[in-house]
Amino acid sequence: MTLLERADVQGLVVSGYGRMPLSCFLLLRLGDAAAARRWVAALADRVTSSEKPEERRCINVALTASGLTQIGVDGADLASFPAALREGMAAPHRQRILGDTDASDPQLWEWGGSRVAPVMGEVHALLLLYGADEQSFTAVVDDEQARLADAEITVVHRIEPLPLPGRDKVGKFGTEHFGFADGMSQPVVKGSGQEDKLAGDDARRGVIETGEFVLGYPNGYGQQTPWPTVDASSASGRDFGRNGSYLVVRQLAQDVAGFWRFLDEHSRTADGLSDTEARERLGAKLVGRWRSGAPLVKAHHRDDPDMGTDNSFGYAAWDPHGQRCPLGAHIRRTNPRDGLGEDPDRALELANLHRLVRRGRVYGVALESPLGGDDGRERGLVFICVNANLERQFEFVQHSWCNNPKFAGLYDEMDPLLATQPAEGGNYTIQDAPARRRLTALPNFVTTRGGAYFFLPGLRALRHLGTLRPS
Amino acid sequence: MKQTAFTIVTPIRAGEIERLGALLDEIGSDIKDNPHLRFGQFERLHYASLLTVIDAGAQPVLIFEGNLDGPPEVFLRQLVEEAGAAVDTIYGHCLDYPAPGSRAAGAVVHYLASHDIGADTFYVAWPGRRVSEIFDEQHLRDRIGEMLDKELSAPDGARTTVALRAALQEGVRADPSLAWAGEIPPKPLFVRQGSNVLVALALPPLAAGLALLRSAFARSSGRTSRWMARLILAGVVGAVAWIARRLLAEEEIDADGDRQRHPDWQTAYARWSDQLGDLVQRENVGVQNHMASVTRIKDGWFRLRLLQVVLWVINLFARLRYNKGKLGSIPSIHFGRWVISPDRRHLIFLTNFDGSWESYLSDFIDLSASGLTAIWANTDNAVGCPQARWLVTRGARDEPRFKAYARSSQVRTQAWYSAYPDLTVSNIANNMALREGLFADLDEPAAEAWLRRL
Repeated sequence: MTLLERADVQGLVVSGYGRMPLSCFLLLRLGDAAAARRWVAALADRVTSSEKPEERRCINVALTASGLTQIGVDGADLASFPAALREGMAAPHRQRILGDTDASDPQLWEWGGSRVAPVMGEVHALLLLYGADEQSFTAVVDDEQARLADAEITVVHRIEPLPLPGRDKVGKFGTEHFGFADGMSQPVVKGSGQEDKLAGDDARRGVIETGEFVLGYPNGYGQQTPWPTVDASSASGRDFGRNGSYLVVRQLAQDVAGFWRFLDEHSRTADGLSDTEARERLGAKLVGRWRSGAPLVKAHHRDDPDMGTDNSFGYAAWDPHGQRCPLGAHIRRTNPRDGLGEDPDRALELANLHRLVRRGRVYGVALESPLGGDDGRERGLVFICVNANLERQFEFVQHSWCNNPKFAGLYDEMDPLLATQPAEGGNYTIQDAPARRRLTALPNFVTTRGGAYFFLPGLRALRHLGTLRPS
Repeated sequence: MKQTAFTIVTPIRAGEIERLGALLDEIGSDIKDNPHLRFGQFERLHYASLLTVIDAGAQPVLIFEGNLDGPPEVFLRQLVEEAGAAVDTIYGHCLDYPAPGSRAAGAVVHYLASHDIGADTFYVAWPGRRVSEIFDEQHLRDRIGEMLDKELSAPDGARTTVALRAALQEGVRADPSLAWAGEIPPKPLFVRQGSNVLVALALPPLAAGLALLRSAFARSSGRTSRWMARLILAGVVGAVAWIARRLLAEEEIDADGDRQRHPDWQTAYARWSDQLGDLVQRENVGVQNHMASVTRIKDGWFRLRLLQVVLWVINLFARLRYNKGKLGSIPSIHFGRWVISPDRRHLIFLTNFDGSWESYLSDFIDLSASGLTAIWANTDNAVGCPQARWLVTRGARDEPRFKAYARSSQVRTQAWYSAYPDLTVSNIANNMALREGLFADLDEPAAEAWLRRL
């Protein structure tokens, strides 16, 4: 097994910096190319690697295709990057893949999306800053902002995630705005050292080949995913992509009041009264886990906080027909485990060719009383994920699983949480015995507000960018 | 009723490819209601596509693909009778199309039929299923679903498997427009007995081989016949050895050529990828997609013959064994075909499938790499098919390169028609099983399984 070259890989690949509650994501527009090259080369010395996340503050950086061009990567070299990165998240046919239509149309985004107000909206780079405490955080943000100003780099948009609410309550994992514990199921990167904690079936389910997340290592097919080159006449240019990853960032606004209103209306008693237990159950049926994180597959009668971090399950043996966790539930669509296909072992292997390391954080203040109506303030999730093949991993999950009306033999429904539903509302089937229940007129609960694909270079590659000459 | 394929390949008149392309684009941009050709009026048509290809012969050609119920001649006659003007407008751009004065229906049908090269390998997900049955069975499921919703929302409705099923059966019986549902059409012989037929086909050569072995080595056979049999055996072994050696030699030459490939495949693909935008602009509009691919068959008679044998074998398996919703293990193809071009130098692949291109190609690589390697290893383009060893190993298992090869071999489908664009292969199977089980005598577990189909 090849060990991950941790000193050259940015820290975000192996860590979500859980011990750093403060963070700030700056979306940048580069100015003068020479100044940008000096900035990025110097930044390489401050960037946090995967070796050992620092104690007080962390810095990571990623570039879009237009950012690479701006910094001096020429057209022929840019062609060595995958089409998804070059075209960007807002390309018209990608809108169909990602479900960014109607209210989620890139034309309405706050940032990203190559077609939105090109001067203001276009993003060249992303600077991710994290701090363990107020003092270190302010220091790193001030310092980096001063350096950006020196390099004529402007901040196009600024996302300030909040510490995940309810972290203390559920331990390691945070709670997203709808009220559900999030982030239990993460692939473990082989060669990162973290796989030592898993064994047996959990290892089979959760440990994924290094090359699925970092370029330059064997992927799930035992092969190298081709990596991009920048100035192939030099060794560092030929190895430009090595130890790099692709980063997906999407700002997803959540309609928390709408979500709970829908659950409330569809779980009332025959007399039309709110029924707390039925409401919670319906929410769990849409998500696939209870609020605590306990999976429906295991805790199918009621929430069980003791199982809040339980990730040791498959679908084939426990729940082949979706009568515990519906076939179209959010967690079943985003990771079907061994549930798709006739042979569970093979199904698991195939599903594991489409895994994502998620590094997102929530933004916006929590809604005090979700059943009391909306307060008009935006809140949601900054979805961030790391993968080595945008098309086979992130886009596949989004299109062939989440947004696919035909997922798992279904007919006409999409991910109940994420999808942009049709104008007349979406459908949702809750499998049960003796017969299924069908919900109709599902509204959108999530709206895309911005997004872009980035390349997350290794540290040597960042330095290499600093050596590029003006063309 | 038997499903058939036509692949009409006609050379385009010099200088007219652009005008023809524009016409096909116009048809394709509104496949249902364009002013020229409305495929929806042909009730025997499952899928159709029209596209122009520059590199499939000495001159550019128009390819017209059809997937039908019943023989092509019947469809073509109907096409010419009901949409003659459109056929004239399209084929007026093609060489040797009858002149305006001599466009009798018979002459036009003859023109089309005489350019039909059919399919070397033709795969049908559900042989025997007519377009009208597929529609009817979807309607039936919708109706039963509504009945179930009504029953569940009625305070005094049925609540057990047996009672629910009885209520639904009663509901169907009460609706005269669903009277057809109870009469289950027989499945085609090859679907029911295909595997037995395969065994039956394999038996005679096997028996002959055994008999030969026996007479070659058994003491009971006479001296002359023993030596005759040994001679024949030696001939067979020699021929197999020769083919194997020849195959390995070809593969080694290919591997050498690939190492010297200039530019390397990644650069070749990067250069090609400007054309990607054109291909994807109509992808993923619905849940089904179409893919047309043209590759060059490697030089020499050996590769052509080998490809023909491989296509013949896969066709045999598609007819007899892979006739229940899966080609090999690939569950996402409705109709697919491979056909060698009229100039015998190109392989044309046309497929109508569920899901995205990315998931389709993943299915190819993950579920059926050997068969696909055996086909495409005989072909080439600027990117090049990843090298095969012993015809079926390696090859398509090289995921990034095989995807790059398949993408760069793709030709844009200009006009594409699907009769049931909202149904997947698995939906059609589920609808079929729902109908078959509706009035069947089912025990409790089977009745529960039947209810899960709704």
